[in-house]
Amino acid sequence: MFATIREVLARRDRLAGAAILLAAQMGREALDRLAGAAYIVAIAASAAVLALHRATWKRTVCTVFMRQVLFTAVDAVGVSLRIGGAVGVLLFVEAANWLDELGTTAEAVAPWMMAFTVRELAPLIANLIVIGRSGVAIATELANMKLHGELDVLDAQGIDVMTYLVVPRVVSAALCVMSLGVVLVAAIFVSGYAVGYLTNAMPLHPGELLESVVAAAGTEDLVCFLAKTIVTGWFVGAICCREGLRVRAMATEVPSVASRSGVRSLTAVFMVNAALSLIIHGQELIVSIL
Amino acid sequence: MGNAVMSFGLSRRPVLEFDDAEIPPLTRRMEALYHLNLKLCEGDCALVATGRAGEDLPLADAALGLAMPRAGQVRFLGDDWSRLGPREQLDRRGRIGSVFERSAWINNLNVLDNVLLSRRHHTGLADEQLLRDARCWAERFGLNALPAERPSSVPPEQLRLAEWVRAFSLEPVLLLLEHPMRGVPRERFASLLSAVNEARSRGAAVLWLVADAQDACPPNGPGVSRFAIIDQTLVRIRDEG
Repeated sequence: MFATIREVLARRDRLAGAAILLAAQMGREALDRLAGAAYIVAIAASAAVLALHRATWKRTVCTVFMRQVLFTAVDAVGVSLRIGGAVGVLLFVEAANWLDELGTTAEAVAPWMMAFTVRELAPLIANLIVIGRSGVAIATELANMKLHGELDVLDAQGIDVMTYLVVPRVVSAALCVMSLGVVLVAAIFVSGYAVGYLTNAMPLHPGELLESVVAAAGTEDLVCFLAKTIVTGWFVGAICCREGLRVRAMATEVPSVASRSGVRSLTAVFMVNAALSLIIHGQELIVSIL
Repeated sequence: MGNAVMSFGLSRRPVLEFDDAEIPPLTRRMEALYHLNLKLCEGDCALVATGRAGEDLPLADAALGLAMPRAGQVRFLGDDWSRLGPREQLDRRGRIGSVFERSAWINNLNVLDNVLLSRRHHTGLADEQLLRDARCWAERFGLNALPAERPSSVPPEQLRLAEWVRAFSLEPVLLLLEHPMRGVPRERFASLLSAVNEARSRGAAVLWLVADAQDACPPNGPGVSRFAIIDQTLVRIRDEG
């Protein structure tokens, strides 16, 4: 009888011990993730503060910035046009399938589709392009620089790593996401209209369609577009720089840095987008829920 | 050669001072240094024989303010590195010309851009002026032109000479020369020595690390002191002149 009670108590202690270990592990994970997020916000905020100082923009920093813009935006115009063109066709075909069921016309849906494109789709695709083409490259480049002692070389010459390496990359990522967003909106608009025109589903003249789109667009759309390109792009730049500079001492870490920067940037894009949607459009939603 | 150093009066200001400094190692392979005492004023030159362990000593890092002392002080231009803010530290490092023992290059810039980087960052001089100065120093050191290739595709000898160009064209107040002759033919030594003496006559202090104090006849004369790293501390050997 006593042995049985002792066994039960021992089992209970083991279970309690395992539960405590599990809770401790989960707590550690949660704290690590919080610390990581706080670090990224700190880098993004520091980059913003430094970017606003005129003294930061020495000619060496401007040179790095121009190179980044060239690589991240100018070189990516072609791929943006191709993707935008394909998305325009895809959107139009998908919308055309629903027109009869919804009992509406293409010219009536077009402004709504464009608003969706400007507010959500173009910023999202622009972010994906920048992450895939430049974000991973930034993380890999910085990781290799750190492994080869190049950050120490900069430091020894009195050149601040944050100012010289991080600020131009973060600013260029934000501005390039916005610029590519504009290119994507234009490409989606043109290709969507072209398909509609060729299939006789879009009776409007391009000028008339543009007028109706502009008339339907509000300040909120513009604010949403700017926020969802600049803020998310800023975070993409900060995350990729942070991941690159986190590498410790092994060249074998570089591939995992590259994939981690891509995954974390993607996650951040969706989370920041969701947060911005709540901030910009959430008031009406919250009021209706309450 | 060697006589053109500045006159040694009492008014020379201190450039680099180690005051009973204990420097921790920066990496696992490095050795710590203890009880370092050294004072370099304008125009002074200290030759430090590091022996075989030269690559693994944090002496130059401490002089640059990259390795902070655990005890004692390292002062540059009268200010303790550890009391300076990050921006002040960076500005001051921009006044130090270095020939590094370890990797010295940014690999995604070509050698010419690497050489000009520090001056482009710290000064407002026109690019043409910087280029002219760099070419002038390159010719002086026997480099026909500063390579426009990435450092990885440039021979080590040319890279080392380009490092000399970078260090001297800064017009530094402190020259940190870590084994500057390593990988360079001995016939280049005269041009290095003349550049060092010219820098000293302008008021620069020189901390020159050599494997052996007798290596390649380093500078002699007033203001030159010799040290050796023995048992992880700096020991004065003898003065000349």
